[in-house]
Amino acid sequence: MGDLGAAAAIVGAYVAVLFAIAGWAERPRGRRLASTPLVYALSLGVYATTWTYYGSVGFAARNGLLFLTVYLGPTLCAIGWWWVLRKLIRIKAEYRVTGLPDLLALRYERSHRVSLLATALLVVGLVPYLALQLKTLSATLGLVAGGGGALAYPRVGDRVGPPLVAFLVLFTVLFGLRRVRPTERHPGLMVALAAESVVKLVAFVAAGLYVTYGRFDGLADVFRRAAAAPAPPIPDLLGGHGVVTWLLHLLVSGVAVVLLPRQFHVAVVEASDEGHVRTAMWLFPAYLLAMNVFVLPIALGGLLLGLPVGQADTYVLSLPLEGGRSALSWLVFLGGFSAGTGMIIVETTALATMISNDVVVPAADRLPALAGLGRHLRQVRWASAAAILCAAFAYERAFGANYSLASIGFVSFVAVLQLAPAALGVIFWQGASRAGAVAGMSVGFAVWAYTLVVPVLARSGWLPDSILTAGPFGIEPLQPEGLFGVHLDAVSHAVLWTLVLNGGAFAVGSLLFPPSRAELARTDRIAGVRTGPPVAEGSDGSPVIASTAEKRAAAARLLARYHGEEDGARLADECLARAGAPRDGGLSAVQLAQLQSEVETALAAAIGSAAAHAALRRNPLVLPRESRAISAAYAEILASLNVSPAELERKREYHRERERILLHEAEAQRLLAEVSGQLGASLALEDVARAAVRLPVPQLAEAAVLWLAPDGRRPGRVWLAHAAPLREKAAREAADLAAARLGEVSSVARALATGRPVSHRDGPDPGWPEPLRAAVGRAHEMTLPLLAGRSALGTLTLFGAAARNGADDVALVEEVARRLAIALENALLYERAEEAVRARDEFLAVASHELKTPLTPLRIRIQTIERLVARGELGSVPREKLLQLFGGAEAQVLRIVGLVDDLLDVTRITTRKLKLRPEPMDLVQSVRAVVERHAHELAEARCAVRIDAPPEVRGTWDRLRVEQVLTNLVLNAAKYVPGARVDVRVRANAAHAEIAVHDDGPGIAPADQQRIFLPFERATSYLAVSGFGLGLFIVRQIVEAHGGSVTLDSAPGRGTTFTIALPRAAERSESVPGPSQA
Amino acid sequence: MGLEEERARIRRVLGERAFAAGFLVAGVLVFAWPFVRAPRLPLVPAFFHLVVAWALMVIGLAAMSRALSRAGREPGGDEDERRG
Repeated sequence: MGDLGAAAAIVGAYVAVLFAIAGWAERPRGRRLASTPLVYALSLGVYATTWTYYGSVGFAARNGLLFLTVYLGPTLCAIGWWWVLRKLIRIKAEYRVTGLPDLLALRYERSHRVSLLATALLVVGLVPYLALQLKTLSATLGLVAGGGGALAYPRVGDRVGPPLVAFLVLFTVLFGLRRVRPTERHPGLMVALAAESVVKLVAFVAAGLYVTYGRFDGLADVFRRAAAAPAPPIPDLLGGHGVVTWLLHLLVSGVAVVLLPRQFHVAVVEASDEGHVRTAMWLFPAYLLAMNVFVLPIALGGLLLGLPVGQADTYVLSLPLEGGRSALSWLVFLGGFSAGTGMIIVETTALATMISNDVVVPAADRLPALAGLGRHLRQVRWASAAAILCAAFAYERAFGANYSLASIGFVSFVAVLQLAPAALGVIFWQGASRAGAVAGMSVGFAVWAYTLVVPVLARSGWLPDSILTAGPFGIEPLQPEGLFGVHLDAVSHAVLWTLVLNGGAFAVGSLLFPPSRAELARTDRIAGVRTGPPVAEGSDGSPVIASTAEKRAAAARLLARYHGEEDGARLADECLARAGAPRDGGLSAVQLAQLQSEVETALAAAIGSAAAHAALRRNPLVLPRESRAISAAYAEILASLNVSPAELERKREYHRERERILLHEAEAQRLLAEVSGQLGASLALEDVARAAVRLPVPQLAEAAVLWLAPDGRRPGRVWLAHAAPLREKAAREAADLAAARLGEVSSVARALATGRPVSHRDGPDPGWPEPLRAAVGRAHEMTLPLLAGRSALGTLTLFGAAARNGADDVALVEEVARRLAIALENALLYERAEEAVRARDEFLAVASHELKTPLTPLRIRIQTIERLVARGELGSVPREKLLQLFGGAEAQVLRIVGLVDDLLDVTRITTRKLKLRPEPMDLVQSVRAVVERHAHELAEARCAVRIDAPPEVRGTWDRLRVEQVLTNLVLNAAKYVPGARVDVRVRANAAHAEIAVHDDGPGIAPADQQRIFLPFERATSYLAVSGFGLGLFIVRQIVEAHGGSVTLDSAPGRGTTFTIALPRAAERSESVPGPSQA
Repeated sequence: MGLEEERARIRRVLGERAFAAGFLVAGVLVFAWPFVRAPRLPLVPAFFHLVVAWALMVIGLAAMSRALSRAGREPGGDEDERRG
């Protein structure tokens, strides 16, 4: 391998290409490329430094898979980027944020103390990280150039370090710090970073392929040999650490990927479009995955080939070198060079901006000797960048040889973690205050230094070594690496303590010293990224309080102090335009206030929000007199709105609450609309009930039970839904078995009785079946009656969380129950209507048959008589034969008349035209007359009738109708139970007469006992017995018209008894009322 | 924006956040599994488990990004240009 001359030539050529790419990207076509999501995602690859490129292999060789936490943490973190990173980009765009300390200062009362503390923490924490990159660049350059003697690390650093630092300062100045306003993007830098990301990925994968397939027979071979090799040198799964270490490393890496200055700069400050986050959130993790696939194979390969573990940090390069692969070695070196230089340049750019804005500018504003520095911001940043890199170089020379890449990297990561609580407060906690942020960061900084920096100093000889073993002053519980007896690996130990103490101090400080009301309003605007509407140009009709020209000059002067004369004037004009100020004339109070806000933002874009606020305080754009006018103008605005400031705040709160209620109401309406939609989808009772019981689950309740009360036609029925399917099955089976008894559950019974919801806060009513109670646990129960008019169809019971939002949710479930009741009632009516239609169709078929049946024999008889007349044989027919012919014809006519009379009676009853004509009569006489009148039919039916009656029972009734009732009952017995014995018993007291007609037939099933009193209904089929099925209906109507009642006592095998009770003095009813519901 | 649209937006945002939270928890569990199971996985199987889980996570993130892209109605473009 050649010497440093050849190395310098190759590096120089590569650097020239990088310069060319960056220069091209500063042109319009390059700018377009720089604004693409691909470049944005690839530039985030600056996260992969020499630590990733070389250090991960070393880390894997010593600690197994622990190296993956550095990349898996960011992958997990990427899940939340769309919400976190996007908000940060919006805040940056609105408030011209220049870096993380600037963001913290903006949020925490524009406090210079906050930004200074954050800057100090980041600089102190990251200089070692920069030193680590320099160390790696020097060491690998020496290695690739020959490696021995003066080219061995650390001696090679003396030769290559200074020119390397000079190159890095030059690139940083040219492409990272060219502009005064850091918020102006740097397309050259971004495209160069993206190109470097591609180079380092290609180079690393090439090295991985070489080791895996060039030195071994593929991945399987490497892993097979590693599995067969002894534990040392093959590392343990996590280098002897546990899952706590794994999780804490994931956490610290996930935070660092956003809060490291270079990451924040690329991801937020340089972001051109928040939509690019969507691409980066998967492409960046994919990039990290590709970078890491070969890390473990290279580490295991190096160990299996006998390379010492101590040199594992350079396996990536030393393996191709050892194999004599010169070209591949140079490619690998350039990949590492890209990883190191990219990180150093962006990190230095970010840190230099912080130092200039948070250290130099405030010092220049306060110390007259430094006053001129404010006018030379760019030069200050260049000097800051040079100082940072020199400090990193000095650190590398002092400590670099003693530490591995990974150990230094994690020290920096933990330093950055100290900003996490305050940074999270920016987005998620409006109550976080400046005091809390300062307390948290200070405590975190101190604990970080004590737990991680002190051990470095002790091991380097700068502090006594005993501090690590015996603790300071011999106080063992204060050992820096084992505070209070907590012994983890150094990084996990530091992460644990710093997070606990930093987070605790942040929370306590914020709670003890909360932000003021005005500050709360401002932070609310920042977190919500809300701005007022753009101000229209021209006069707003308010009185003019300042001259535009005068204020323009003042703004330009102030801006020129940091932006230069030319930019200052241009920015002043832009600020006036955004404030809506007319070019000539004067400014109103509102316009002047807006101008001041715009100037502060323009200043913040260059020097940060804290310094901008301080600069405007020292050089006020608004004079005291104008300030009073502005206050008066705002007071006038408040007065015109007829509110005080406090009232305005109350109104704001009112509108917020109103908005919340409206959203809640909107959600309730959505649910109700869904309820109506699903309930209206079908009229079938089963479908409606099934849909109904599912609707409240899980939005309103964990489980729901719908119970329909028995309605005389069918028993009680139950449906059940539960959020957990397995529990639902068990609960439903129990509910089905208990469906007939659910009306006895006290909450159900009370809801039915009162028509109001019944609530059980301490768990379900004990009356519910045990499996159902087990399924819902101790959930709150609410049972709602399903009211159709005044009657309850059943109940809806909700278990769990129905009233979590108080009265609102109770009202909502009541409304759901109301709609459900309507749907169920409709379904029941529909079911009845269907049954009625079915009965009607059946009746029409039967009626046709019944009316036609007597017509046929009648027609035969008429035809016979006609034939006898035609032949002149009528006289020769015997008299008895003629009488039989005519008698048979009359019987058929009478049968038709009876059927038609029944139909007419039904018509009269339903149209209320059946008139009663009561008269004094003897009931016993009527009974005997009816039995005698139908003796022939009874005899044909082989029915023996026995009458058990007193001699006389008198009363006032409609004789014809009472006899019609008796006829129906007696003939029913003959018709349905031929051969049965029929007993007719008559009894009476002073008020009532009672007739019981009993047969000893097979009886009537309970399910039919109500139905047979309905029109066109009967216990048997139409085919079995002739007739319309109207007899009992007419009986009930006539008896009830007399003020009496009909009861039925029957059971299968025990015969049937119809009992009629009639008041002896019949009610004077003009007409029979319409049919009542059975 | 109409009430219905606002309701749809809220429903969508809540759904997105719930999915992200579930995705995060699932990711942590899957990444920690080789080290909490008993006995712990050997080095090579654990490495394969993590790499496959990582790849699946990237696919999930890509799907999530696509879904967000379809659902999002926010205007794109240069944020700084918009501010001025």
